[in-house]
Amino acid sequence: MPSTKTNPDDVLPLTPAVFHILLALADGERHGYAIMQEVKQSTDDRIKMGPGTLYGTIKRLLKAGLVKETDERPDPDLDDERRRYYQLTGLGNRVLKAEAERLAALVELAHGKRLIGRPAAFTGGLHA
Amino acid sequence: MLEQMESKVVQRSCRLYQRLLVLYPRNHRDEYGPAILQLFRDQCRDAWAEERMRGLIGFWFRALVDLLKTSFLEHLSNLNRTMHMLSTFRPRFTPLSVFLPVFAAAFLLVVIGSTVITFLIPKTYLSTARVTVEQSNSSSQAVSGPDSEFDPNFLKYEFEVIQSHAVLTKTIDALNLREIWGRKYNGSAAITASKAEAVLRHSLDLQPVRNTKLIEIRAFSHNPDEAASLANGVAEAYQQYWHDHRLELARRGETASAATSTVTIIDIALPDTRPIGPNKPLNITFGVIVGLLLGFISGGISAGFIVWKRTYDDPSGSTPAASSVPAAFQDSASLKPGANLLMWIIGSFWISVGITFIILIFIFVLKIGSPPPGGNALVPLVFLLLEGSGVLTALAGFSLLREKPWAKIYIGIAALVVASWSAFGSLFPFPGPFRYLFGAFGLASLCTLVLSFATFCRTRSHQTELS
Repeated sequence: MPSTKTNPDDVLPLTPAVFHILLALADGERHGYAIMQEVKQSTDDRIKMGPGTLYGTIKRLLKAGLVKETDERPDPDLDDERRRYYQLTGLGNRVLKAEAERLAALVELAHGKRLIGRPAAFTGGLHA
Repeated sequence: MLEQMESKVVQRSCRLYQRLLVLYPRNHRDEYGPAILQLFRDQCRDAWAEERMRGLIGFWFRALVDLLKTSFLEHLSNLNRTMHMLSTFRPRFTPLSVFLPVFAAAFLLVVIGSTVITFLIPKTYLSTARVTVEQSNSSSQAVSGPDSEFDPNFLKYEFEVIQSHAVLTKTIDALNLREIWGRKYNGSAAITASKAEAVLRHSLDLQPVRNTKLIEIRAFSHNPDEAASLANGVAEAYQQYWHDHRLELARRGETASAATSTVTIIDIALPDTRPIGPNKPLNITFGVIVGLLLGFISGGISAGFIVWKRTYDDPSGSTPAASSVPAAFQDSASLKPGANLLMWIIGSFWISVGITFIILIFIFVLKIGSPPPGGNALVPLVFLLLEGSGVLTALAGFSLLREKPWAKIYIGIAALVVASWSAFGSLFPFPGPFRYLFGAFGLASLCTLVLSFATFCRTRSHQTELS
């Protein structure tokens, strides 16, 4: 049963694992292995989630209403029917944006204190 | 060849991993088992493809750690869900909803307790005999009188005579007090002469009447007739003492040089129908004040604990238990062992006090023994010791909860206080109810301590499981 929380700030901050899973789903629906591959690539192999961690986290994300399972298959001929696909919900999308903005604000703060240089990607903002 | 080997290794790994999935709770395994196994198979192939056996071993190590950790969290999550379902049947606590009943309970407990004890404490009666005393040989000191200068040294000396061994022994023998008090305080056996003398001395109060030659000999007892007979007996023994002393001096031919006194009994003591104690309005007022104070303290602590517990249970809070799990998905970590320990200690302390009051009521209702004359002065001391051991018990419990290093010191001191109850009670010749009082308080405090420690040990083992 999904959580009744609708305010993204209620579930912040997210852990790196949760954030990366949501980030992996930002491009569209994916199954578990595809999520793992995406996380692995986007973090240069620094975050390695085991199967239990991935599905445990997905279970909680489903419960919190941040992701949902979908029956659609991008290409049923090329895919195993046993795979389960997941996609972001509206709330999940808002939570992901809110977390990204929070992290961006922290980066800005660190930049203001001259701890890091200004990343080029942040100059245009994150409000996609 | 390599493909065959890969197939074998992956298949065997998957079979083994499938068996290990039994570590997950059944509902989780039924729902996500196939997907987890599928993902394991995919990762297993990748690991083999990247670094062959070395990669597979490394992957297996990570997968095992992951399996153990997540299966443990899933079990905790299930347990927490069960507890959450149970908690929906319980009333929700707010600081005010906790403060009011705790305040009311503490207030009523103290007020009702003090009122009941006030009414159950035996009544104390006072009887007064008046005597005049004149110095027979007044060569050096003028006898005090209405028109003469008052001499406090002379009266001090006479007071010492009245409370002397000689006078009190005469009184005890004349009134047969060893037998009477033996039946009253010591079963049926006569009490010793020294104990009888101590009780009699404790029952007396001597007062001069200002600017007169009169001395008031006051005696207290729970029996009005006994109070009157004590006062009259002491007055007569005192009179007899000086009479005998003069006869002795005359026999030795020393009457001219020695100073003696002549005692005349002016008023004999009569049994009083109105008791002088206990002072019911004063005791009940005192109970109301103490009840308000303790009510506010215990209610405030309980309400503060609810606020603290809410902060502790808040999933977005940065508590140690919460920090290890995703902030938004903490149902595995929201189980808080020990969170109820402080509440338990407060409750158990008040329960112990309540049990003690009940025991006291039974003692007084069943009339097991009765306090000595004037013995009510011990009650404040006993209550002081009760509060002391209660505070120590609470401190010990609190320091256990917070895992403070001085917990052992508090437990040690509290245990010492508890042990001193029985020692104090047995060393001093307290009569019936006071001996029970010590036993009751000691037992209640000891139970609180033992249960605090047991709860702490249980909490520690639970926390170890969680970590």
